[in-house]
Amino acid sequence: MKTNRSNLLTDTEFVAIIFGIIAGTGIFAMPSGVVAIAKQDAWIAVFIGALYPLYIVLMAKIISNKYPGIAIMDLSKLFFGKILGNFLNFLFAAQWIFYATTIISGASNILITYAVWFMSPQQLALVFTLLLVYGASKGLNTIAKINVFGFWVFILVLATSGVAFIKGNLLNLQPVFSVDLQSLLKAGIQTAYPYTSIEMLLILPPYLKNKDKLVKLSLITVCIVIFVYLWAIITSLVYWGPDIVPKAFWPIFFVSESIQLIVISNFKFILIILWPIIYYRTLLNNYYASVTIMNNIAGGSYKVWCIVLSPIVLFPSLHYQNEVARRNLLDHVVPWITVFLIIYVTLIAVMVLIKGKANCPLQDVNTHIAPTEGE
Amino acid sequence: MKNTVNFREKVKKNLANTLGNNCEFDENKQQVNDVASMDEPLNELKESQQQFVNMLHFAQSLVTFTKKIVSVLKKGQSVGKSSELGQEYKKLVAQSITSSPLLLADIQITIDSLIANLGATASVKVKRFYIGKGSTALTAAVVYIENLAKKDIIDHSVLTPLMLKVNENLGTVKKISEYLCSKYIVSSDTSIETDFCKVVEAVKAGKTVLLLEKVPDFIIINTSGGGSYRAISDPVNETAIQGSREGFVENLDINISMLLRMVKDENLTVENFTVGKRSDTRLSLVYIKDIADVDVLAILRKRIAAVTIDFVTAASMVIQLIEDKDYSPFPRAFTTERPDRVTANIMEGKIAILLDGSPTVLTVPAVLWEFFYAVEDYYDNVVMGSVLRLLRMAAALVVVVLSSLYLTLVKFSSELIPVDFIVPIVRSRSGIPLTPFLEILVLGVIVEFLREGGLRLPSKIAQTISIVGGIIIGDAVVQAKIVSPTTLLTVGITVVSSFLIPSQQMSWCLRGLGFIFLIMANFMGLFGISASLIFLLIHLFSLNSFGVPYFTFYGADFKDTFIRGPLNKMRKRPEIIPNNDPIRQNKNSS
Repeated sequence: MKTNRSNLLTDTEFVAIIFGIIAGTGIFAMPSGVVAIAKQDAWIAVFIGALYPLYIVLMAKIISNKYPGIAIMDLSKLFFGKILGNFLNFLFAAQWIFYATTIISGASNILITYAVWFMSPQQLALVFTLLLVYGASKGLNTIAKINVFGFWVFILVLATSGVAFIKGNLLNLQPVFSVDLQSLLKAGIQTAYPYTSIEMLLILPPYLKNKDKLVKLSLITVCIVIFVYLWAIITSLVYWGPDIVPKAFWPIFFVSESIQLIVISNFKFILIILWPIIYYRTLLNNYYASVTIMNNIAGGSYKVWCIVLSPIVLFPSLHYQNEVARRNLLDHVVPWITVFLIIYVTLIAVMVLIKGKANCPLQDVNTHIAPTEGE
Repeated sequence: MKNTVNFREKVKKNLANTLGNNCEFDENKQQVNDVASMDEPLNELKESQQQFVNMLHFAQSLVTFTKKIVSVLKKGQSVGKSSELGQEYKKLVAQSITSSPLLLADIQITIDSLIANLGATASVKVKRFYIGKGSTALTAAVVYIENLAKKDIIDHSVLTPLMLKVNENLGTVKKISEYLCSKYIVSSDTSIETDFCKVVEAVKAGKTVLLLEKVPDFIIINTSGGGSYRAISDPVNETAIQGSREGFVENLDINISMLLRMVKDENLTVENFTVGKRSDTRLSLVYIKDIADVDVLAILRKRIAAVTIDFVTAASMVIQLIEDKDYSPFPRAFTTERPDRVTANIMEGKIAILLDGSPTVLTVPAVLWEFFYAVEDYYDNVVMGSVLRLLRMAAALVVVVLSSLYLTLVKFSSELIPVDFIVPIVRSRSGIPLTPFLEILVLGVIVEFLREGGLRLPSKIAQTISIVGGIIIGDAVVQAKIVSPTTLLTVGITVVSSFLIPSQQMSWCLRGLGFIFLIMANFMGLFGISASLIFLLIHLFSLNSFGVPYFTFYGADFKDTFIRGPLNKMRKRPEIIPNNDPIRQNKNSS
């Protein structure tokens, strides 16, 4: 694909986007599910679950060795033909759309519970969707900067849970390695689901300034995500213990709420202002991925797709009923999505290994980044 | 060299054969006199050839002009109402003057054409006189615009020497214009012009033109500076306790001279433009050639050239015409009246835009952070400079968010207010008929009325309005139970915080944003504040100022963004502004 070199993603922006799309809303709810299975050894399951993103990075390495700077959608069309390739791309896009709807619903639930009890889920979903369309229409440069900003906000929010080491009890992590292997593996699979969305790194290669550093940057991102997930689980365990954590919907919030400041009666007040930024960042990345893929499939104006996909994201998000129903749906659907992604990415990588380097038709993606001065 | 000499000799030989008696060509010698006598007719031939070419060009322009008139008439439009055709007609007249030296035989025709192009006939003065004596006296005229040109210079430097001191026969002098400039006109700034359009521009700028009968050149003497201008004084809107007391004035040349006094770098460049089709206002770009980014310069030049408005009277009008058209309330050019600020900015790679008639100077590209810097940040020590800067940024946050946070806490999330505060708040709000949102909105609007009223009124009455408005009305609304004391306190803190923001435009922008945050908080509580913050972030991240991102972070610039680091540590220019020379000082400087 032809790209405008002056507006390509820097290393920091790339890492921020991949981190933003992985470590988003799932981190708040993940500890409860994992601790329910693996108890005090749930932190070990984080490493087992990390095998999935590392596998995707390996596939990206195989692909980028022969096709540096080419997005997976173009390779799909190249190897499988236009019809089948676009069909697979459409399924790929459907994943992002599905995740976007679940994030809107999840964000609405958490905000209604903690802050805006007087608003309906429909109103919240509408506001999120409008912000999505506005943000996505500004192009990848703006999205990248929002991700960099959101990364630091996320670190700040997560760092507040460090109070667990002051007020908590490290004995809650013991005894170590007391859980059986089957439970650990089951918990590992449970932690693999929050790692999904790393496939975004297969969409971004054309926009990366240093294309030869794709694998290195991806590995750095995975390491940061592993650390962040470890932190989330360990702080939850240290503060609440393995018995209480599974009973909370969002254990991290419980930890942060315990901070007491002089003027503010409840630290939750500050978190409630910052959480939506974190949600929005993840939501925006998912939405951008879906718009980019649909634009690749059907062509047309990028900005028009930003508007066209909005009702497709908005309406399903209104029908998840409640948080329990949403999580049940995710528990059923996400494994199938993960299986599809593994097959899809592996097939592409195998075709790359079999066929070797070939000419891939380029497309102009300037409008995805931002109009540059003077154009 | 040998080929050039051979060719020259061949031409002279041919010329000698053509011109006959007055020319001699000696094949054996290279006589200086011969060269001179051969060169004269050669030069005359070249001049005639050039005049012939000029007349051909004029004829071509006339044909094109006629075609345009025909097309306008065919469309059924009136030729007289077309300003474009009017401008073109004036150019055609100007071209006719320079293309046909026969017209110069009568100086009155030239004078009439000049007056027609200048437009303001009542202010145009013409002084006809004779240079030299006897029958060979040369008819001349000076033309200038009253109140733009300094008459003293015209009288002493032009008229006195030419009318009284010329006692020789000027008929034999070949290049009369240059001769007069070198020998008789007592002025340090003279030039000889052949383009009639430039002569008209020069007279409009306050210069004087000396016309000589039968001579195709125009002598321009710089006599600008006529009329009275405001003297250099303290900048009204940007005071500083330390630092210089000079501020820009309305005269462009004086403003440029102030910058030239502060920056003696040989790379300091001044580029001149004219904007406004009818006002012909002079605009200058000032930058340091080896620091400023060429891409930003190219964008700036392109946008200035694209301005087609008929008049501009202020630099802020210019920036509205050349900035990115995205309807953002955030200012994309930094406005200042202080030469020291402009100097500091151009040293970072920015470009200053100065407009004749405007005491405010713009520097571009501008980034969000610089609107929170004061000039004294760099005159104070590190600690004070950093603390004050952080204070200003905190004040900006207060202006935008405080009122909406207060509204949210009082209306939706009172459980988040500490117990010690909630009792007095509830007590103070008892008996208030308005909702918290309306209280804050009404107070905010009244404050804006007072602020705007204070700007427009004479200073003595403005002091009264601040006392009447601030104290009397403020006290009265509380006693009348229109608003609660805590609401008044919140709005008062917001107003005071807005005074800390050094840039007026940024202050207005943030106050406007405060109202938007308030409305969103009224409908959506804390989420409304978050949603507004998200919207604001998207907007800021997507803004550009002449190709430079408006709101971004660079780690290397941290020492001059939120804090003001030690001056000896600022070895490089800010990365956020593209420049060609990143090193500001050497590593070992103390």
